[in-house]
Amino acid sequence: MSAEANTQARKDIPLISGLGRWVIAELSALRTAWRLWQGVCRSWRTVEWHAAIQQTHEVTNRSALLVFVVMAFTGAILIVQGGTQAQRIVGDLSPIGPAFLQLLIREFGPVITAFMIAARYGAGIAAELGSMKVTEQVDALRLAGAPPMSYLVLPRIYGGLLGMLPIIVFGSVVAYYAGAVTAFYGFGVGWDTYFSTSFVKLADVSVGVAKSLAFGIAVPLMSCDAGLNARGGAAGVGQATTRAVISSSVLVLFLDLVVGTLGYVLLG
Amino acid sequence: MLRLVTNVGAVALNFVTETGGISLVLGRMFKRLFRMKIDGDEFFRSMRSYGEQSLLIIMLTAAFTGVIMVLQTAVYVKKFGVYDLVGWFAGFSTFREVAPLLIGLMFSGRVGANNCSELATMRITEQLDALRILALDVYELMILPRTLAMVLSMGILTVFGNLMAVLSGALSARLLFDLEYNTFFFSLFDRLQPEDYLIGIEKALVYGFVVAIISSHFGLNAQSGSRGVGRAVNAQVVACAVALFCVDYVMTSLIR
Repeated sequence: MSAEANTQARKDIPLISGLGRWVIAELSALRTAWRLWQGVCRSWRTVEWHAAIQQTHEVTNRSALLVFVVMAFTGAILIVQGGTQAQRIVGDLSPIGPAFLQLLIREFGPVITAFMIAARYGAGIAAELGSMKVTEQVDALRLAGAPPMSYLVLPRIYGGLLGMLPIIVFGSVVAYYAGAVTAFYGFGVGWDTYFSTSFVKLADVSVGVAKSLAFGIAVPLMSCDAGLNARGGAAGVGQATTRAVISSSVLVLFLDLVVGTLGYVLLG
Repeated sequence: MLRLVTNVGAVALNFVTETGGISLVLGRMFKRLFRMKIDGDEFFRSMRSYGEQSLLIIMLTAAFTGVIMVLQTAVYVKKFGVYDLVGWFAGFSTFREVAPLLIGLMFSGRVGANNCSELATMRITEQLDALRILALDVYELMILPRTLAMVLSMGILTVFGNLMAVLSGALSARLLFDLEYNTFFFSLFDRLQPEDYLIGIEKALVYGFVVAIISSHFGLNAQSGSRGVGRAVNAQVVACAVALFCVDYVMTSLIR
């Protein structure tokens, strides 16, 4: 097909060619992210610990307000939904607290928190590294003998790895208590009935922790990749920010699926 | 201690400022809406580009969601043997809550962020001022048609997303614990009412509106300089996330 006919075809079927272009862009993004991950595996010992601690502070302390607000709403929403459905189908509200705790540990705590970290911390990484890349500061670092891997990427990945678990635990606690208040005032579920851990097994906690650690690596990895591949001025930085949020969210969901399936098959 | 008070004050001031700005955008938009001044071309162009930008990503997200919801029931199915509740749980959690919310978050990260960065670039390069000099109204030309397009496309995308989630859920239930497709869909259709489905669509329409207003506000008020666009997009994503959860709570408790 000649170039001209190709352009004509692109005009005729804009939706399909648009989707195709998107697939190609995503696949190439996946390739660069995989290369970055290989680089991380090769040189994980060379991390700058001071910077890593700073990044952990950024993940946990500075995202705390956002995560707490969102998790409080999540807890209230899930209890209202669960309570309404349980009244209708099961007719018994007593297992709502323990079942909610199990669902929170295994699923919603890690995923919703990781989404919020991706929106705040991941987008921040991409904007920061993106503008460094666009203004050629990354090259300047490399010239000065400071490899971007150990000064920029590894501290953020360690920060995510160290910071994600605590923020997920605190976020889940906030959601659990918000759920308790909603269950008490909305459905009249007593505190003693609600605060029971009878449904939670070691398997649930292990799946939750495994998810937290996986998300802690995934979000900074995809965001660093988006930032370091930013191209062309202020608009490029904006695009990198968008890409960071979307690709880390999709990777979070995908890892959720993988770890969840493994957890179900191996641990039950 | 003083730093804590300063921080709390700064957060509160910031919140009030942004809420005020968002209500200003809202008011100006409604003024044009009642006069029915909408640019039709821009509306159809935006509908198409939103579809291009987000259809695949949302189908992918929804497919993952369906599997994850079935995985959650798997634990109870094993414990209590309630095979006929799998379709119900996957259906009500996806339709009412998870699908609209996740699709809304993805939509704000993709479409909202694009809208925001476009408006921010126009603002920084003084194209918005140029429009005003030409006596053209940016609300009429861009914001209002885009808002309508976002509301409509969120509804359509959620319909697609729900379909993907149910199909992937049925498939994964079959693979994970040999649940017949019949049992899955029977419990889905038998135990759910049409309003369970419609509440999700209503939510999705409202989320589309929220994303449109917030992304337009942050784009129109971007700070100048090369970091302004990135910062506006970042603030937009965070504000959308908080607003979506907040609106979700209000809607969930108003219409059960």
